[in-house]
Amino acid sequence: MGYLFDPDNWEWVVTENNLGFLLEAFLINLQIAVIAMVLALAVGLVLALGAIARPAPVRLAAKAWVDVFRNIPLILLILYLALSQPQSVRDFWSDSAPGFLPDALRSEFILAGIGGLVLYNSAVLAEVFRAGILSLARGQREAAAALGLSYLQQMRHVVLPQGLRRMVPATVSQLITLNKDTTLVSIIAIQEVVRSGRVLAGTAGNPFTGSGVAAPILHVMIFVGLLFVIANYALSRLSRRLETRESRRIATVRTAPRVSEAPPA
Amino acid sequence: MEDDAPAVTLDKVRKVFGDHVVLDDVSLRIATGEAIVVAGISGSGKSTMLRCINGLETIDGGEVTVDGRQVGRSERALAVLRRDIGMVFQQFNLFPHMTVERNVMLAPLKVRGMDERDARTRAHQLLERVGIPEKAKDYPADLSGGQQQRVAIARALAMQPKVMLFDEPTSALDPEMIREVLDVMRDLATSGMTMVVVTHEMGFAREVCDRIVFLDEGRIVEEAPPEEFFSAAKSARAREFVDKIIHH
Amino acid sequence: MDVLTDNLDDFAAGLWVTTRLVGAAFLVAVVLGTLVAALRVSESRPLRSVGGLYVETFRNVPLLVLLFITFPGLRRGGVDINAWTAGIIALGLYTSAYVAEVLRSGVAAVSQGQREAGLSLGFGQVAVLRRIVLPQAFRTVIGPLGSITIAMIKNSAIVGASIVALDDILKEARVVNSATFQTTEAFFWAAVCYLLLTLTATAAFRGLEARYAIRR
Ligand SMILES: Nc1ncnc2c1ncn2[C@@H]1O[C@H](COP(=O)(O)OP(=O)(O)OP(=O)(O)O)[C@@H](O)[C@H]1O
Ligand SMILES: [Mg+2]
Repeated sequence: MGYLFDPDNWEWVVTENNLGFLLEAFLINLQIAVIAMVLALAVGLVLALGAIARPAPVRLAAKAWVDVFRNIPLILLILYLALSQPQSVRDFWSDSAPGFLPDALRSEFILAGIGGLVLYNSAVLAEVFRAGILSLARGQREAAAALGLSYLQQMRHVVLPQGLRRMVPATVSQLITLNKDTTLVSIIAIQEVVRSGRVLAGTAGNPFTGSGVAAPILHVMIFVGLLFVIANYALSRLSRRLETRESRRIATVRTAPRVSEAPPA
Repeated sequence: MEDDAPAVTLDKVRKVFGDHVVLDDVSLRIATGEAIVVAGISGSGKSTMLRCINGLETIDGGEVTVDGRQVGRSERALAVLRRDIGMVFQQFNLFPHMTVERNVMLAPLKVRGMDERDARTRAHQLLERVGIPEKAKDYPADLSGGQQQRVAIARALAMQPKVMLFDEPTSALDPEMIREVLDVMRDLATSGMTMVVVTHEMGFAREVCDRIVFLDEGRIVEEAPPEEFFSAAKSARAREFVDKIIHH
Repeated sequence: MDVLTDNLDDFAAGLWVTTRLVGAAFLVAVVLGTLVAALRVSESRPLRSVGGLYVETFRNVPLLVLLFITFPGLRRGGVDINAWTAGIIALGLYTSAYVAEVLRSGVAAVSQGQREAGLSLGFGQVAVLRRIVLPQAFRTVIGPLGSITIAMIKNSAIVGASIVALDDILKEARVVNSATFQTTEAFFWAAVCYLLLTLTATAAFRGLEARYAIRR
């Protein structure tokens, strides 16, 4: 306990630019999370539509894809992509990544990192979407069909607007998970906050490279953890707010006061 | 009131769920402008029969036609056919994410390709007709059940259907709201709309419809004008049914 | 296929390590999670806040960061902790927050009427919790606990992939990969091992659910 609370062990926080160094790296995590989220949402929606499509081969293929990728560890996907990525892809990205991107996002492994995050999260989100769409009462689709709307029109005007709205809270909480998962790309040498933390802990006590003030890894990682707790707590508050708003909105839709038995139709 | 060409025909229709025969050799002709009530105890196949008419259920034998056109299996052809068949559900099934007005306008805009102004004008006329013009901008959640059901009727009418199907439109309503919905339906029947109504409201059947079709275990066991149905049904099952409702 | 048959021992050993890791961490998570859930539903406001703080902390921190805290972090601080203990504690702590939330909402789902029925039969508060609320809550949480277990199996790979030196499935795959350079095969069979575990867990919890489901 003494070790943990000893002010000397926390001095690194206010030494030189250590704090800025970590915060800047944390920003990389947030950027990776947002990029991966946007892509995963798009891919996930396509997969979900595939999983509810009528042609059986499409449906089965989409379902199998989703079930495989959401049931294997994300870190396995990331490592595999990084290790199997051909040299040409690495070179392509290091050469042609837009210059305005931060260094970490121009790393030769970033495509593998983001690719893994998207592969895994799109499968998870597809399942969320599918459930959101299927939870729509069958009556909604039948009412649209009875009006003469085509399959695509039913999807576009009736099913998706309601399904997507229901998924907003779940998507925000998935963003929390994704945010945490961005730390995994540190394992493939991308300079985000965990890796920066390790650099700090490894070098900060070194009078030649660091500031000469020791930055114990325990303290650095507690600090990094705190950054995530704060950012994700804010997100989870947002998610909960959206959720109550959503359930209030749905609850006000009058449901039948008396139905003698569960009607099959 | 009857034309020569029937609006709806069912010819030896058969429908099974698993090994449960839900409709068994059902044949029926409904003339243009006719309003019929379909009666029968719970589980006798009333909803299923109605849903076969607009292809929400696919049939396993026989043939259904609407306005001379066969009700097939292709979704594309069904979508075209359904433009001319309105349907009103027990649970209203309004689209909760759209205003009342948008609910009514959706199909004319997207299916008929009508322009926004005409669709809105028509929506307002119909809301006027069902007695709730002031609710156009509200969301379904803010309406009473009776009002929601009247919007659902307006929504179906907006496609100017040739036939209207009603599946227990008042069964989910509180008693004080049943009247307002039945009044709208009565006006519709008077205006000459071809209607197929599944309902337990025998008062409505007696006063409004031209013919009662009585289903029992997936078969039509009685077809008669209301006065005859209530006083002199031929089949034992129908008499039993009538006795029960009259003595309750 | 050669990659699998030639290295069957390694993959089997990895599977066993992952299974033990998940099993031990599951126990930690359920014990801690139950304690924290009890805090979360207690009558005392400060205790509830402590429970809330615990949940928010461990749910929002990345597992990898926790692992750096429990292993190199504590060791540098002079705590003599081994890789297994550190891995189990980190994975267990992380998961316990989710378990606590699931148990709490399970308890909340048991209606006030059930409680009142128990109280009016003469049971005390604690007895009502123990005999009426918890058994019902436990059944409703079987499904969510299943999802947590599956997440745990997947998360266990982070333990092996970070510095904690445990030779789990993923670690074995990397060893095989560096020995054979058959990257795709090595990772493919590792993925199959994980699928084996996650799908088994899915089936097991479905079975439990079917058996103990409460029909309402
Ligand atoms: N999708 C379905 N799958 C299996 N069985 C069904 C399905 N829909 C209806 N059935 C069965 O078909 C029979 C007839 O159902 P239907 O809904 O047509 O009856 P109904 O006369 O409308 O009854 P109610 O008055 O209760 O609405 C019932 O036994 C019902 O259980
Ligand atoms: Mg019915």
